[in-house]
Amino acid sequence: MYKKTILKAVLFLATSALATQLNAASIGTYTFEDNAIADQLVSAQGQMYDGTDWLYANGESWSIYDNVDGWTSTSTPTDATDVSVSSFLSATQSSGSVSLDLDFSQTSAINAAGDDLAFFFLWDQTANSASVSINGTTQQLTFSDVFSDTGVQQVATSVNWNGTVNSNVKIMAASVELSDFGISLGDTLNGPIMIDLTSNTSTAMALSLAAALNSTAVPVPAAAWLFGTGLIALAGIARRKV
Amino acid sequence: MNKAYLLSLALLLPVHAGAVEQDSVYTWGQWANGVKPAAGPVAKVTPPPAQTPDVNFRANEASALLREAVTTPPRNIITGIGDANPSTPIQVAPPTSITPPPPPPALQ
Repeated sequence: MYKKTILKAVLFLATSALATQLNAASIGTYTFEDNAIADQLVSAQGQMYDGTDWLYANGESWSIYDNVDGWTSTSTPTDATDVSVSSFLSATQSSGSVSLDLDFSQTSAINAAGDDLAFFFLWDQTANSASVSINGTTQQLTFSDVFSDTGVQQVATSVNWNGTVNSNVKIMAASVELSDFGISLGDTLNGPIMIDLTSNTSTAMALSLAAALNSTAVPVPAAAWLFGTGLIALAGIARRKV
Repeated sequence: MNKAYLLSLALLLPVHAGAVEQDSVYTWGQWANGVKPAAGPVAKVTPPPAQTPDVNFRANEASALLREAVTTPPRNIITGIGDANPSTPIQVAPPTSITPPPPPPALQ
């Protein structure tokens, strides 16, 4: 019986490995590991707009605004943690600054040669401001256009904004070097990245996503952990039977 | 024995020589005019350029199955991105302004 179970587990693992699709991640000339996107919105502060709804964050608690019910409690939005360039969280001029704490769950940013973290924004942000705080050090971001390898400007293809879907939306990027935040070359970034968004103009300060351009090795896949723990459990059951 | 052998050889050889077909591919007959040996002093002939056979053996193969398709780069997990459309202006600001709702009671 146990042999059959183990065989099933091995088959499951083999099938999972075969089904694993080869993926990459890149936004224009910015390339990074496919698990190196800041996928955790740890906490936030401020009133922000995601193109459809108004959200308010106070630490880890979130509220969403509805014209009928007003502010009600809600779950953490995924706009700033998914892999779509077209979704975003934004600060507007009339709603004040927004502060977001982002982190990586599948990898860690590492200080290697060149810039280590990249932030991507929608629309022209040169008149707005954003700053990144890591380890108590704050740095203002400098925005630049994003181009493909062949020099073609990159845009977001379907951005929801107040009931309309917009294409050809400009993408801007800003990158930082971890050495500027007191992290030595070769060391990893531990702890969240705090990014402050401020809109000084009528253009919303919209953060699309953040990525680690240099990250640690790919961790053991979940299937391997499942397989390992399954084997340990089977061993335990076998010992109890004996 | 030796004499008989040599005699029979002497008689038979001319018979064979006369029986040879003169224009056979086994002899240098008429067919060999213009043909030069591959080696030796007269072999300095520039061969014609090699011709590549113009045959498509994969005419019925779907392009997706060609070996070249394997070199396709990995799928990009980032979605919602593309090249700018040159026929329309790039959107540098949201299309409409929005009015934020009143802040939550905790903020007021």
